Parts: sequence; structure tokens; C-alpha cells
Amino acid sequence: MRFIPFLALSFFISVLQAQPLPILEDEYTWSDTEDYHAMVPDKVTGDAHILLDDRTLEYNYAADGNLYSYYFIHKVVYLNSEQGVEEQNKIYVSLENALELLDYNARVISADGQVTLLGKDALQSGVTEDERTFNYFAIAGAEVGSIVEYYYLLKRQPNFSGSYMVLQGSYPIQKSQFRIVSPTNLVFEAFAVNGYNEVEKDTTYEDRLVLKAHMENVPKAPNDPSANNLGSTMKVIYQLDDNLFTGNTNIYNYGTLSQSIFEILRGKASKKTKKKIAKFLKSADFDFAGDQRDKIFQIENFLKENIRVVEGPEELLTNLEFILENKVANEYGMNTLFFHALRHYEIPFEVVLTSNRFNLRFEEDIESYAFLSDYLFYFPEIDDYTMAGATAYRLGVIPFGYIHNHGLFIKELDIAGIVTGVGKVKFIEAYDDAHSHHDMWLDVTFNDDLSNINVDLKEERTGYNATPFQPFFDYVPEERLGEFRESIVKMIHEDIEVEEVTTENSGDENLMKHPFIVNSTFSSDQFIELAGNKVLFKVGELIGPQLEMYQEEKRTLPVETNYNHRYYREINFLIPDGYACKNLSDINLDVRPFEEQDKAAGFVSSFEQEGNEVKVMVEEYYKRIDFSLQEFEDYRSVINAAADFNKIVLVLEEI
Amino acid sequence: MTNVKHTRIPLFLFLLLGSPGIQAQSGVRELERLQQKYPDEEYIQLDVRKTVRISVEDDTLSVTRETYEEGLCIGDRALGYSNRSAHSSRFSELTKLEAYSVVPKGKSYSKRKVKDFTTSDFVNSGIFHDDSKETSFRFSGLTEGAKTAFTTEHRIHDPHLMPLLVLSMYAPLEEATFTIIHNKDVEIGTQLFNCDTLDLEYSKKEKGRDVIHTWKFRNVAKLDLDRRAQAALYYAPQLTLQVKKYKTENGEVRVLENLDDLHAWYCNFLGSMDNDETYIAHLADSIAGDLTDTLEIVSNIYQWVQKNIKYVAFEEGYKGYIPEDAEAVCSNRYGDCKGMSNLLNSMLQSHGIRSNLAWVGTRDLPYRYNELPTPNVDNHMIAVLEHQNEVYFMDPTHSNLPFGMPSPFIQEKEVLMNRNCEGYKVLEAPLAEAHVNLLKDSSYLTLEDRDLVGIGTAELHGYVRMTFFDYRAEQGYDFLKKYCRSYLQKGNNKFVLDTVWLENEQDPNLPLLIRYRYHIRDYLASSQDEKYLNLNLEMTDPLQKVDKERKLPLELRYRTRKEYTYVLDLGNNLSVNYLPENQKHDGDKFNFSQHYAASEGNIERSAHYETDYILLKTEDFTPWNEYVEAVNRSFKHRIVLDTNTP
Repeated sequence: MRFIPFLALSFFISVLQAQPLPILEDEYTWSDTEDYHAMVPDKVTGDAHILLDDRTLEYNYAADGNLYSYYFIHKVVYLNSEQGVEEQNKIYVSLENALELLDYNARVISADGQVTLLGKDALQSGVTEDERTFNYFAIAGAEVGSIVEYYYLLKRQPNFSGSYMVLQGSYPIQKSQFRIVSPTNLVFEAFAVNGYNEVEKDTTYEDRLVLKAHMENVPKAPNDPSANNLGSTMKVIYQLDDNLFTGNTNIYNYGTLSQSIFEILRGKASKKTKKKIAKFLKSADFDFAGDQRDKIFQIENFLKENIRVVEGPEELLTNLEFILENKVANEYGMNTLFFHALRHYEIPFEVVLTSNRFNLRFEEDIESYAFLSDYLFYFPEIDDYTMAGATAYRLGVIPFGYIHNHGLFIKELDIAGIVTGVGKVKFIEAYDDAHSHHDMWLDVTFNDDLSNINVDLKEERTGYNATPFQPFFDYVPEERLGEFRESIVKMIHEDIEVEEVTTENSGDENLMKHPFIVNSTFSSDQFIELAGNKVLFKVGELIGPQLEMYQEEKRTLPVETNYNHRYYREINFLIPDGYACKNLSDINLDVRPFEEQDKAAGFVSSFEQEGNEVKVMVEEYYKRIDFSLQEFEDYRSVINAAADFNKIVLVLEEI
Repeated sequence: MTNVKHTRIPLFLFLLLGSPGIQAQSGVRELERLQQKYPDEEYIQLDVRKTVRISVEDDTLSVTRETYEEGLCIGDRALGYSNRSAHSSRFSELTKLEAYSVVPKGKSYSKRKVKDFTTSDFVNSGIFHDDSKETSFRFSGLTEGAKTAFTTEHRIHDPHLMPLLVLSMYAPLEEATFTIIHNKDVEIGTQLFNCDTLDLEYSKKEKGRDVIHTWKFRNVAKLDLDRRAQAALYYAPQLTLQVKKYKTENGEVRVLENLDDLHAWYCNFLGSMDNDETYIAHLADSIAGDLTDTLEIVSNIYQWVQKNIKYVAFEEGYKGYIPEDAEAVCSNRYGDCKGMSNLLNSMLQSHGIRSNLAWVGTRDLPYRYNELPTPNVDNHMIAVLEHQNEVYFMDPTHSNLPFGMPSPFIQEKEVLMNRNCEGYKVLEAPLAEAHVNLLKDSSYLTLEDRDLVGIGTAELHGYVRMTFFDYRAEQGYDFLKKYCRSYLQKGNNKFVLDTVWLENEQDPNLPLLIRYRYHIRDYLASSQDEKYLNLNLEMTDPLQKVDKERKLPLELRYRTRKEYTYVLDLGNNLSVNYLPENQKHDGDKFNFSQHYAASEGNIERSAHYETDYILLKTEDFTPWNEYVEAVNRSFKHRIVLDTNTP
């Protein structure tokens, strides 16, 4: 057993020592007797292994009497390979949202126990090209088998209303701990999700409240294909619950928010502003002869075509008058404007607050504002949604991170002149597979010597299959439009000669109103191979490359897809005169493992033949977002069936 | 100090004077004229002026650089041109920065001064920390008809580090002027690069004690750098400037007249190093151990530095020129190119081995030492061994570089090798031949139902071996399998890598052997008794044609040769009905061949592909595309096998 020499470290700057120390000072240091090398497990497979990940978020009053939060992180990392050393060369300290870096230190413990203290000079600073400040420790002297230990303490503007901490990362963690510390009058609540141990009260301290969650052997964050990896990471979600001095309890609850949100949003427009909004809307010259869906669509389209949405917390970008004058807003500003536009035309709606499930799943049985990061608008009369801040999307399709997730639906109530609201947590269902379909019709003719094929292609895309293309016709520079159109056809195969390509219904004003259509003629020699005097027609490749799904490591997460969708492909061709095809039956594939159950996913390819005319039909569909671990192999078989179809080769031989 | 002000008032300022009618009219006319001249563009550089003033003050040189840039938005999608920045460093200090846009508003214009400037430490991806700063800002209101203008002034603090005057080709340029104003007592040298086909007028005049050189450019076209084109400096019109010498009251001060001077200046920095000789000798001894052969010792010490020291760059002020002390690099376990080369070099020298430090410019810099003896020429440092009439280039910053091969990015470049600061020699780093960077992949194959099963060995040499390790991001077997599955893929994406392991991993001077077992599911197509097998298994690594729109030569990292051999054991149940014809395409710059042979129960196919160029010139584009088509066509031929009737 080797002992690491005692290193007494008082970490706080002397100035503050004059005041009663507001934070758990004696906890924020590093151990002198712990032998980290003994903690390293026998079999470390990754490039690094985290022996200790200890974090504390302490809320307390500073000398100036104001309340701040102090984030302390202490990590001990064992370096197992060259790549691990390379990675830990720079340890980043993000200063985003931080007011001040109060203390820090780093040291390297070599395999034979030698300790090198890196000291205050080890911290460097820099700013990225997009103007974000960061600090990093320059770790000198680390080698394979070394242990790097560091800590830092940041002072921040406190967040009370709801936040979360992700506790899993790229490497497994031997000992993980997260604590929330607060003065005795501020009672916090915290919830662990996705398998992290539950949060408990730590009553060892009399002068402050401590919530503690800890766990040993935290596995590294999952990384499975077709899974919601980040959304499934272990986390602790927390917020302030009660303030015993003021007597307020359950401070951040959905009810209060629901009651006040409409008042707040309404209040953003004075009478004068409302007039300006009305004038702006009038200039659109709407034709509201159609149904409600059409009305909403026109309003939304007008706003999204005329107002540019940029990122930025600036006050001005949420100010309606500024927005109308300069035609630029941030997301919140756009939501506010849309809110008022809907009210102006008396269209009933509900405000939905939710999160992106691929970052943080909205947990149904936890009440926290951490889930309420994004706005949607819900229209009960047509049971549909839109996201005002997403300019490339329209009514009927919201970014798929928000579907298949819960949300807080808030309805406005007007009780005897008093504006209020009532909220309810409901599930935002994913759209069905027909919503996002992609159909292809190909008419194939062979040239005279069968070295080449000529194809007439028609494609129709809707929903999420259209969103990567349809809206962008307004953003792509004129000179690149031809290239852009060609690139869509070339998704079938890079090496084709596109003779002609036209599109219909391009532009975001057509999204969800009309399918995005591509018409093209192209030719290629890439779909033909030769074997002696036989001609091999690689008909399977005409549907474009298909993913082959591998799963070698043991899978830990169920499948969670992005959205439901389906495909239909039809390939028509004539068997050339003087030739026959004897293996047409290879086209028949039928992989429908969920047929008895709920027909959740399937792949079927078949053909019809009349004389020399052959019609190949392929149907592929995914009607469900979730597939359990037990269902994974069946799900995978459907995905791979498409890859199998890709390989179908028809043999044409001279008769 | 001379103080020549601009005599010409920028055209559009007239729009802010005079009556609204004239303003609107002349502005509109110019806009229309330019829209017609450049129908596909969004933004034009109207006027770019770069001026360098050199004077002698109190026996030292005072050098300043001023730039003025004016542009016009002629389209309505010019927002992309809003963000700008100005660079500052210890040697080239930004002393003034002003910017504004003039935005059309109804029938007149409004001038918007830029007020928000953000200065940040410029984080260069290759450099850990240096004293470069970037000051960025945005022009506002860039709609059609809006103009932009900004002015910068820099003070140059070292006459060896004169600025390079370059015309940026990101947008068409109407007019540009380079002006050098220097005191008669200062002797300068200038050179133009990439200006031969331009509309350029040079004039020289004297005014009092000053000499004024002016280069006026007109109508410089925009240039979009194609993917994998050489760096912008190969194309951008530029003027290099060197101060040769100047007279003071106390005599003549020599700055950079020729390569001797540059070498002497660089040697000043080497003189500031302070290596701990004992420590280094001790370290070198412990690594060399009992070895006696010089090349073996060098190789061992070189490998030690490559493996144990991480490359990380610090470049603050003159530290950008002074190598860090060797033992500091060692104890830190990291260093930049100078520090690491210094460590390697001093360890070798302590052992009596003839090693030297050397400066070199990477392929991003188009200059040669004798042509341009200024620090603009180089940006990297390596070590060079002279042994028995051979020269060995060593770049310790690259962990996976085999001994004796220069880094790919300095091939064909001139290397300024120091000789203990008593002299120097200019060498040229060789261009590795294709067969040195060899990938040799052989498989023994069998058929199991419709699956093709293989046992293979891939042999990687030279830069090919180096690149394999460069991209091997993680150490574990899981990653190796995923990585090799993509690297070794054969046939199509139903290729499954069953197992893989490496041999000769530790010694970069031996070829790497990758041994692997694989199968490709459902690989055979069949119809009745016949089976059709495509044995062009390497076709999953296709060659790329050159885009027909491409205008600039295409640069590769290095030349390569790939050889593939497959032996297919047909077993007892299959016989050969048809073998594809052999193929061949000869040529100096690129060539390939494919060959089939059948013998008892076996089919053997061998193929080679050689890419024997590092720069594909425009006249080679069509021949290259034809070559790629020929290769792709060759992949379409299958073998026909018959099932033997018992």
C-alpha cells in the first residue's frame, strides 16, 4: 500500500475568510490518505476509468447578501491508454453561466505513487470562434497508468425553478455522488431518474439542508443504435420546493405556472402594440375562406416568412414592437407574437410546455420546470400541433424530439374577467406512419446492348421525409438549386447521370399541405453487372442504399425511433426481347414479425408479371416508436430485410 | 514620420453629401451596373487598400500597416458577409479598428457605426495557447444596396516579421491598391506571387525623403477553393515584403537580405535555449541501453519521444520561435514541434550522433527558402539525421510516423537544416513513392451456402500504416473491430468481421499485419444451377471522379499502391464456367490491373491499383475520370460457377 503524502489545502481565498463561510469548506478539498491506485479495478477496458466523480451544488448567501449557487466538482480519473492520456491532456471547465471561478487545483499521481501538484498555473483560458469562454487545465506529466485528480468551484447565478444534472458520461464511474446543499430556510427537492439511486436527506448537518444521491459502479453512458441514448442517461432533477422564511411551499408547481402564463403572455402587448400587430397581420391579406387548419397555416406561414428567428437572450428580441419593426425575434419572441396573432383571430389554442426527449424526457410523475424548456401550440379543434420557433416546420409537423413525450398542456380560462389557466400533463402522440411516407415509382428501360438503364423516376415525400428537403428551397442560394435538386436524386446512387430533374411543391409554405414531389430521368451503368453472357440486373439497388444494422456489443436500451414512417417502392421494367429471367422469385421477401400482434413493423417485397412486363412492389413500415429489448431482434430483422432487398440481383439470360 | 492621408474620397461617401436625389440616383446606378456585371453574386469587394509605412526613428525602424476595405451587397442574401474580424498579436499589434455600414432606407441611406467589438484569445485548433487575439464584429443591415467599410491599423514590432499583403478572393474585387512607403534609408525587397494574369499597374515615385511604391489591381475574380485544393496562398495575389537593411546614424543595420540573415536570426533563438545536458544524456543513455548500431539507437530514441511526449503547441510572443528546454518538455510530457525536436535532437547529440534541428514550411506555404528568405517561408520544426551520406527526416510530433519518412505534409518542401549555427544546408524532403505506402491484402475464401467466408491478412506499410493508427481513436477491442469492419470491408455492407488482431503493432518500422476472419452473407446470386460471384471484393473502396465543375488541381496526402489477392477454394461441388477477362490500364500517374486464373479447384484473382501522384493537375482531370470509369466498369464482371452434378 502506498500512501499519498499529506497535502493540506485550504482552498478559499483569504478575503472571504473574514465572513462566516457560506459553504461546506472542509468538504471541498482532496483526500490525503486515499490510495486511488488500489481503487482501480483489475479489468479496465476503456481508455480511462473514473474513480471518483463528486459534485456539490450549494446555494448560499455571499458576503454581499445575495444568494448564489456554488458548483463544486471533484474528479479522479485513471488513465488506461495513450488515447486516454491524450484526452485528459486538457480538462475543460465550462464558464458558461458562471460568474466567477473561485478555486481550482489539479495534480497527477503517477503509477508509482509520485504526486505532482500542477498548481494555479495549470489553468489556461481561451475563447472559441463562436465567442464562448472556457478554461482548461493543462495536464502535464500524465502517462498510461497515471491518475489525474482535479477540482474546481464555480460561483453562479442560482437556478431555483428546475434544472438537472447528468451523471453518466463516456467512462464508467467507480464512486459517484451528487449533493444539493441549501440554507435551512430553502428546502429543495430532487429526483433521480433512469436507474440512479434515489435521493435521500443527509441529516448530518445542522446548519444546512443536504440532499444526497450516490451510487457505486455507474456504467458508462449507453450508446446503442436506434435508441434514445442521452434521454436515457442517469440524471438528478431538482428545484426549490419551499421557502420557510416566506412561508411559500411547493413554489414551482405546474398550477401556478398555468395560472399566470396567459396573463404574462397577454401582458406583452399593450393596446398600442396590439394595433401594430393588427396592422402587420392585415398586410398579409389573408383569405380565410378555408377551414381552421388552413387559417392557422396561413397565419403561421406569414409570420415565419417575414420574421427571422435568431438565437440570443437579448431583451429586444422578445419585445414585440422591436420584432415588428426589425422583423427579427428570438424563439420566445416568436412564440409571443404567434400567441397574439392567434388571439387576434380568435383561434382556440393551448400552450404546451415540454422538453426534447432526446435530451431530457418529460417525466410524467415528477413536477419540475426543468421539463418546460420549449413551447408548442396545440389546437384542440383539429388535434394538432405546431412549433412557432421552428421556422422550417409548419402546422402538422413539429421537430421529432417533441413527439412521443409528455407535455404540460395549458388552457386559458377567463373567470369573470380574470385571466387564468389550467394545466394538465398529457402525452404528445407521435404521428402515424402515413404522416411521413416516401413513395417511389421507377420505370426502367434497358438500352440496346444492355449495358445501361434509363429510369423515369417519381418520388413523393411527406412529413419527416419531406422536412430535410422541402423547406430548404427558400434558403439555398439560387446558383446552387440545380445542384441541390440533383443531389436528391443522387441519393439513389452517386454515379448516375441525371438528365432532368424538376420538383413540385418546394418551399416551406407547402410543408404538410402538399407532398414534396421529385420528377427525374436519369441513366446509369451502375445497376448492371456481367457474368459471361448473362446480364445481372441489380434491381435491389434502385431503392437506394439501405442501412445494415449491426449489434455486436450487448444492448442495454430498448429501441426508440425518431418517428413512424412508411415506404412504398414500385419498379417497372420490361424483360428485354430475347431474354428471360428465371429468378424473379428472389424478389419475394416477407419479414413481418409483428403481424399477429400489432403489425408494428414489416417489410414485404413481391412482383407481378404479365408477359415481359414486371412490376416489383416493396412495402416497408414502422408504426410504433418503442420496441422492447426482447423485440429488438425482430425489429432488426425488418431493418435488415431492406438491406437484403438491396442485394437482389435478377439474372437475364438469352433464350 | 510620413503622414500621407487618403486623397481619394470613397465613392459612396458622395451619397451622404449632396442632395437626396443625386444620392439615390448615383447609388442606384452603381448598384445596377454591378448587378449586371455579376449576376450570380451577392457581395462585391469595391475597394481594398493595404499600405505599409516604414521609417527610421531613433535608430530603429517604425513599421505600420493600414488597411481599408469597402464592399457592396448587390444581392439580398448577403447576410453571410456580416461577420468580420481583425487579428492581433504581439508582433503585429492592432492599434485601430473602425467599421460601419451604410444601409438603404427608403430613398436615402443611414450610416450605422459598429459599436460592439469582441476581442477573444484566438484559439487555433493546433495551438494550445498563444498571444494571438481575434477582434470580431458584425455589420448590421446588410440588405441589397448596403455598403460596408472598415479600417485597421497595426504596428509591426519586429522588422523581420513584415506583413504579407494578400488579396482575399472570397468575393469579386473591383479595385485594390498595395502601397509601400519607405524612407530612402531603408532598402526593401518585394515580390509578387500569382499576379501574372492580372490587370496590374505598378508605379514608383519619390516624395521628399520617402519612396512610394504603388501596385494597382483591377477586376480580380472571385475564387472558390475546391475541396482538397492547395491552400489559398497558392492562388491569392500577394506581395511579399522584406526589409533588407537600413541606415542609421550609427551605421547600417542589416535585417534580412538573404538566407544567411534568416538563418542567423533563427539561430539567435536557438541560442536562448538552455538544455540541461546531464539530464538529457542520462535519459538518452537509459533509452539506448546496450545498443551499438547508430540507426537502431536513433530509431529507439525517436520512438520514445514519439510515444511518450504529446504534441501540444504554445506560441506566446518569441516563444513562437524559441524551442522550449528539453527537460521541461520531458517532465511535462508534452511540447510543441520546436520543443519536441529540441528534446530529440539534444538526446541524439548527447550520444555523439550527428543530428540537427531544421526549419521547414508545410505544404500549405508555397514558398522556397532561396526565393523568399523571410519567416513567411516556414511554420514547423523537425530534426534531421546525417548518417553515412544519407539524410533521415524525423518529426517527433507525429506518433505514428515511421523512422526516416518525413511527415506527409512536408513532402517536396525545402528544409533548412541547421549545422550547429555555424552554417546551414537547404535540403528537399522526398516525395515517398507509391510502393512505399503499400496496402497488401490477401484472402483465402470458401463458400458456405450463399455466404462467402474468408481468412485474410492485410499488410500496411509506410504512410498507409501511419494513417491506420492516426484514426484508431480508442484502444479497446470493441473499437478495433468497428474500425476494421469499415477499413477492411469487402463486397458490400453485409460484410461481417468475425475476428481481428494485429501483429507488429509496437514497432512502426515493421509493416503492420492485420489478421482477420470474415464472412459476407448472401453474397452469391444464383439461378438454377449457376452461381454468379463478384470477386472484385475491394470495390467497396471506390475511387472518386473529379467533379466536372472543378477548376483547381487536387492534392492528395501521399502516393499509394494497393494490391489484392484472393484465392477461392471451390471445394468439390463447384466448377468454373466463366472467368472475366483480365484488365489493365497503364500510366505514369495512375494505373491498375486485374488478373484471373483457375487451377484445380481454385480460382485466383489478383489486382493492383496505383495512385502515383500527389497533385492532380487540371489537364489530368479527364484522363483520371476515364481511368475511374475503367476501374468501375471492371468491377461489374462476375465469375460464373456451375454446380457439379454428382
